[in-house]
Amino acid sequence: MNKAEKSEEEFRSSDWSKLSPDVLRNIFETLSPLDSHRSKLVCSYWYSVWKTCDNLPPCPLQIIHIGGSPILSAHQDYRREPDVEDLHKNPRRIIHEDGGSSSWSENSHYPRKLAGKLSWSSCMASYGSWLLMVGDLRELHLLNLTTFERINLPTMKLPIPDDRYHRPWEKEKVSKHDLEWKNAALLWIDERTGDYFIAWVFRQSYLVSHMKGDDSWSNLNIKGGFMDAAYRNSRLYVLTADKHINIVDFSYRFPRKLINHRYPPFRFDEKPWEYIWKTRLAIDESGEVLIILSLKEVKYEEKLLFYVFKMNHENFKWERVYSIGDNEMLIFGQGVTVKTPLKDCFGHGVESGSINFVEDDVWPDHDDDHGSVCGVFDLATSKIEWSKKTCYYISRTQWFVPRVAYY
Amino acid sequence: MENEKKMITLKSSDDVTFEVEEAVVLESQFLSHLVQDCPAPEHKIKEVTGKILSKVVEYCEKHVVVVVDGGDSSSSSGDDLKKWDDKFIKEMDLSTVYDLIAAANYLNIQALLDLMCQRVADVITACKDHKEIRETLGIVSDYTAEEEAEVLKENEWAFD
Repeated sequence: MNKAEKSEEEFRSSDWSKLSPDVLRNIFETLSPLDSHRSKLVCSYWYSVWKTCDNLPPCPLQIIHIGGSPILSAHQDYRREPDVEDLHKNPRRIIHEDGGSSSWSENSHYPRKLAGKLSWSSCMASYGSWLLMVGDLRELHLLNLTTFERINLPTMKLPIPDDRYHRPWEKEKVSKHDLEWKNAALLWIDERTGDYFIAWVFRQSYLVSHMKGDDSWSNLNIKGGFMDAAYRNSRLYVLTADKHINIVDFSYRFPRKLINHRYPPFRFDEKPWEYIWKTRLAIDESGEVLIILSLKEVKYEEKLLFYVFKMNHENFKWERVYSIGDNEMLIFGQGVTVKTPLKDCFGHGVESGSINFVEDDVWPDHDDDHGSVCGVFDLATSKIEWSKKTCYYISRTQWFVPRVAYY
Repeated sequence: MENEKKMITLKSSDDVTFEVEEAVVLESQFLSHLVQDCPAPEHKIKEVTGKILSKVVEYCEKHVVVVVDGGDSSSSSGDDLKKWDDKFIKEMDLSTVYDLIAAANYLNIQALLDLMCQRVADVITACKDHKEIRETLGIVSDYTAEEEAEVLKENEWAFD
């Protein structure tokens, strides 16, 4: 009897880190992508088994805003989650998964879990797994989607203008509306050191920034209306409405505006059949500035295109290029290129020379009914592949989507 | 026919015996081979305790009965079975789940194994982050801070 008790006792000491690989794979394969990514962080054995799963979630993953603006509308809209009927009313807002790793679609628990973290907030920018959030009371914070780590940011005050003619603005408060303007914010974060940088454009005329260690926001004196901004290697690049590129160096205690000899104003003469939709700025690995245009070509038929321009420093001209950096790809609207791994260790076919985009990035009246919200543009072939993968619901304005482009 | 049901006795590591119909035993691939190869009336399963074996038997008996009765009203009995499964796993503590996984794996009962894995997946899903998963399952991380940061860095998202 004594012996039996002992053996039962031994059996009892369950060591979850030593489950058989088959069993662990079985568990991982039923998890949602977020939980799957989270569980590989548990211990190195789990990670080694995780890598051998059949339905590895794409890595990196993508979150997509659908609709023209991430502004959350009236609160009552957010009190309940959309039901099936809602989803039917907005068929473009969700792509149902047919077959495949079907357990992924049974994600009912996990969006709810995230919803608690994200409700009443808008996400204004992201970098890596970090989101820049604006809370209900205009409080700002950074949120890590994997770990739910949170970094609170100082409250933003409208910069006091140097220009005395703008006096009336001085006492105005920054409104939630100011903060939630689409494409107004930029986030950069080094996941290793935890250093971060945030830039924000207000009312298209003020640019404020905040870095780790600062106790407030500082006003950058750049004029000319803002079109887009990007940050890489401690430098902020700002594309103004008149297509000038301003560079501000943040590697010193005080930001220093650099005199830009390297990049003349961007110039592109549209042909009669070319219609530009959006202009974006990106910095590649080597620190070169790229200008990306989303446009449509109307000849015999309409075609959605992306052009990438790079400075030819010899003849001082912007030249159209058909590849990005050294094996890099980019996500439209995200200011930095991403190095594609030489060895595709996750089998997602991360492709260099491609541009990942969402519906919003291309001309809206395009009649091709692709039934998808995101796609990949191949620079070499000028072909678009619309993805047909699952979307994951987070809140009414936010979707969580495996980085389908990587398939 | 009723009388001809063949009964088999299973004995756990701690000598608890269970008398079950042969059909119940056939749910386990391991046991069905065992019964075929060695037609003894009693089989000792050294790797499974009485407590766990009683759960295994409970599960297999339930699933056998439903499949046999299922004939015409299979959908409703399928729903019932799912409800029963849900209740079965909900009431279980994690160390029992762990032992049942080991037993289902050993006895090769795929449906039970899947069910138990689902339960673990639910536990993982309910945790807010990887630290809570470790805490709940009592796993000590062997990552160094750098390694953890490296794995964390893999989890990158793009956003628009």
